Amino acid sequence: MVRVSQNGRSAWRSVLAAGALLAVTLQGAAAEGVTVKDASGREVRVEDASHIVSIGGAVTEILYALGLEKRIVAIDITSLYPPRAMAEKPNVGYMRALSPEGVLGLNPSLVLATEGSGPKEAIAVLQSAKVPFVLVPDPYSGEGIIEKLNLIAKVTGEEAKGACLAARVRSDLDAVAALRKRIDKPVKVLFVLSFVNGRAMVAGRNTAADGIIKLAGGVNAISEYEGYKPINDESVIAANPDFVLAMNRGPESLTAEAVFANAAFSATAASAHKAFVSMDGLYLLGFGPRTARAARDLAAALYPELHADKLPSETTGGAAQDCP
Amino acid sequence: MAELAHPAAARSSRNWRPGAPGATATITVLCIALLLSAVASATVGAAGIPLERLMAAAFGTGADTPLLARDQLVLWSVRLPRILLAAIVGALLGAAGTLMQGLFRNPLADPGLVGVSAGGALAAAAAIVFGDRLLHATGWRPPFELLPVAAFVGSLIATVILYRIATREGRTSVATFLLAGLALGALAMAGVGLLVFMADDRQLRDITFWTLGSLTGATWPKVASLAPIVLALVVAMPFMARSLDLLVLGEAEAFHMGIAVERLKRYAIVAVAAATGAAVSISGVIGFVGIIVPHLLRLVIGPGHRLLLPSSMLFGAILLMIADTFARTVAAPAELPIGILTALIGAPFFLSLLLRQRGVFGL
Amino acid sequence: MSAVLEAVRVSVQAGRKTILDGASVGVSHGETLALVGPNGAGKSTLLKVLSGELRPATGHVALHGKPVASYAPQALAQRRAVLSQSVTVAFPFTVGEIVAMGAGDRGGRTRDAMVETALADVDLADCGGRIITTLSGGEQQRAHFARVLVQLSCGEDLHGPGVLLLDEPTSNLDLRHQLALIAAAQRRAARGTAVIAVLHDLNLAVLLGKRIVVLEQGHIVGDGTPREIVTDDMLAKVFKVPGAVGRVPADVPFVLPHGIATAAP
Repeated sequence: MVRVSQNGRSAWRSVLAAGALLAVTLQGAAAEGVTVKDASGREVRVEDASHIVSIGGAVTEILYALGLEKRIVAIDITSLYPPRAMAEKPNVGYMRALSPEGVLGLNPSLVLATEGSGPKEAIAVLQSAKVPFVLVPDPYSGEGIIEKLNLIAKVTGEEAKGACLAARVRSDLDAVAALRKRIDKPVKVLFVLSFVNGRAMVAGRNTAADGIIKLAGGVNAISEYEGYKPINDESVIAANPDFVLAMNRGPESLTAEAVFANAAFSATAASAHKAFVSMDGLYLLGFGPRTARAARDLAAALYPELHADKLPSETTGGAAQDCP
Repeated sequence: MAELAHPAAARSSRNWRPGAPGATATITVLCIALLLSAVASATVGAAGIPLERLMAAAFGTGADTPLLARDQLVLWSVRLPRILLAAIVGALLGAAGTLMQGLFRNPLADPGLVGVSAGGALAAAAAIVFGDRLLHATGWRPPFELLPVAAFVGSLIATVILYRIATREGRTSVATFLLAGLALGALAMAGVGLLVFMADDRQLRDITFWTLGSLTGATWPKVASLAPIVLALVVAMPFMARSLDLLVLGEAEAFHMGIAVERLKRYAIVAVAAATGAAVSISGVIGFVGIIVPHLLRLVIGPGHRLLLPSSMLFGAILLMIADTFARTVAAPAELPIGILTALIGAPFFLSLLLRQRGVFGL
Repeated sequence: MSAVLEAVRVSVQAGRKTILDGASVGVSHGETLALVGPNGAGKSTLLKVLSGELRPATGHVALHGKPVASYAPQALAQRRAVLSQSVTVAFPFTVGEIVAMGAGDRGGRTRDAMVETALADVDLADCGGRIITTLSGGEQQRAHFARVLVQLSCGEDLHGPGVLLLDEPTSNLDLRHQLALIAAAQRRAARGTAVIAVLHDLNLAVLLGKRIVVLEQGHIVGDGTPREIVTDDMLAKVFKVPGAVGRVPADVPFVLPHGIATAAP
């Protein structure tokens, strides 16, 4: 609790701070803290990482992979992996609709939230609270995963384990990169986020979907705009994707039949051989420890002729927990 | 008495509006404009078919190549249904606005104002957030898309509630209807807000873009589903036109002049609800068309409903078709929500009209 | 002569207040009836009841011997025309368009002739193309009178002489047009139309009415010829204006008030 109180406006914040202080004393964890620069560019000093609120699917996944699940006091509803997390941890709701009181009320000593958490007002309150709040960067690239891993390892004081895990992820990513090199002709992939009443919401640049398509050696069929936007029917035809990619959300998922029944999608190259790939949302778009595998799986679907091999982490049979 | 010798008396029926075009001229001009804008609209699109190939695609001439097949698909299965859908939705919005303004004797009345669209929006948002889960949980496989049907039903329910609130002892108070509509609209939008709060990222985007309105995803079945409502309106309009004219003088005057006022109000409300509900169900919320179209037309052809109603449908169709042509091309490959476009053009235009006209009509 | 339009012991309540209390009045073809009384006596309400717009709580109204409520609005409109106290037009219709509305579904030359005649009758012959809201209050009132005349003519073409109900038709008119309107109503009556007019100006009532009916607090307190009705006694009793009646030529009474009564008799 050395962080200087910025303006100590409200009394409840002091109460929370006192509670957190008590927690630190009781846990007696990490005496010397670390200072990190988070995704918002702020210097954040973390003294105690014993009680973590983890916001964002990839953040939770990394904490579990580092074997730090006991330190997690709460997660959010996007933390779907590992599946047991949802059952065993309290929930603070949806990462984009956070309530500062809901988060701080759990008495955490550290809040780790993925970039894109919101709303802005809630983030501003959390950042001004005495509990250190670290915004974890979320760039949609292989390097981004390593960056994420390193930051989380550093603030939790698990740098050795983190380095081991990062090395595994890196060797997996390298294997996927080698796979990409063998691709002669990249295919065009159109990621459909939602398909309601004949209207498709499609991923453009600067999206997780764009990132994973690139990682799998594909080309995003839509590069003209950023983010997820409703697409023009004729533009689907003009983009002429070789594959349509969607998230698997269980029984409510989008199906190949539904997509290709649409006149515009039926006129694409993808329609000719019913090239439709559906994958688990967090696995595909999470940009966490499993992303290299997701990219490999996607590449295997896009380029069956390459016979994508198992990744190093799979051949050694080791989960991240096996890191010393 | 000298007026009896006026040359106009020799004509079949005198136009009492000097300088205004006659009914035949107005309808003819609007029909030609509709046709021209449809043709112009058919030549542009994100899939970019050059003119000579477009002719081949349209008339099926030339070699049977894969390229021709693609062009034909773009033109006949994607572009034409969309153009037609834009025209139909525009016609519905124009008619709904004109009918509602006649009913409320107020040039600012609009289905968007009295909560009819908001009722549709609430039902649509509910379908987006709960639809999949509901269908999965119940195992029900409806033979239709859930969203448009929900939006249509939502609009109708909103209208029925309003009508019930505003009607006492068989008499419908237009003022109560308007006020209750404002309250109901606010309530429905609060409901949408709640659903937005409950929605996840994907559903949130769907709700946002749906409430901004769009005609993307147009298909022939959608066109076919709206056609009967347009036809019913066209058939019903002549029967309502004179009554709406007389209603302009007030309900008592209309009754004195032989109008069954309560029945007229019932029919007009049903027509507005059906037209708005149908338009909302297919395209989401598209504002300002219902206000601007009749307002502009009244300046040129006068407020008589016999001509104003069909002209509003034609002009609404033209306006929305042109707006949609921009909506589907300017931001391609993305869609510019057409509701944004109509509001961007419509709102300032409407304000300037108000400023210029307020002296005359005491608005 | 039997009454073409007749209200029999009609009562109207508004909340707890009684507006009409067992009022009976009838009018025959060719008759001109002026309805007078102080403010709030129930004159306009009685006219609304007679027109079928308002249903009385008790009593009934008969038109051609049949209950007025049994007529469909259209059938009613063909047999009686009503000029209301004030009419606001919501959209910019022209005078000609408004007057032509009186002709119903009838089109063509006969309608145009009717509209033009009616416009000439109300001295608006050149105003047919003007937006009605740009006219003065008096001109607007005349335009609406022209519309009502057209409606009456159309109905009379179909069903013979009708009924003309006028609610304070002269309230916005200058002296010349007040007299012109009274004259136009009398011309109609001469052709068989039954006319009932609510009037404030007792002199105009005398000028128009073969009969004058006096209403006071929902009761009919006088019904007779102008000579019988317009007396010092009635003026003092009902209008609280003493000694104002003079009589010039041939026993036609006129009212020239000197002041109002300070205390109720």
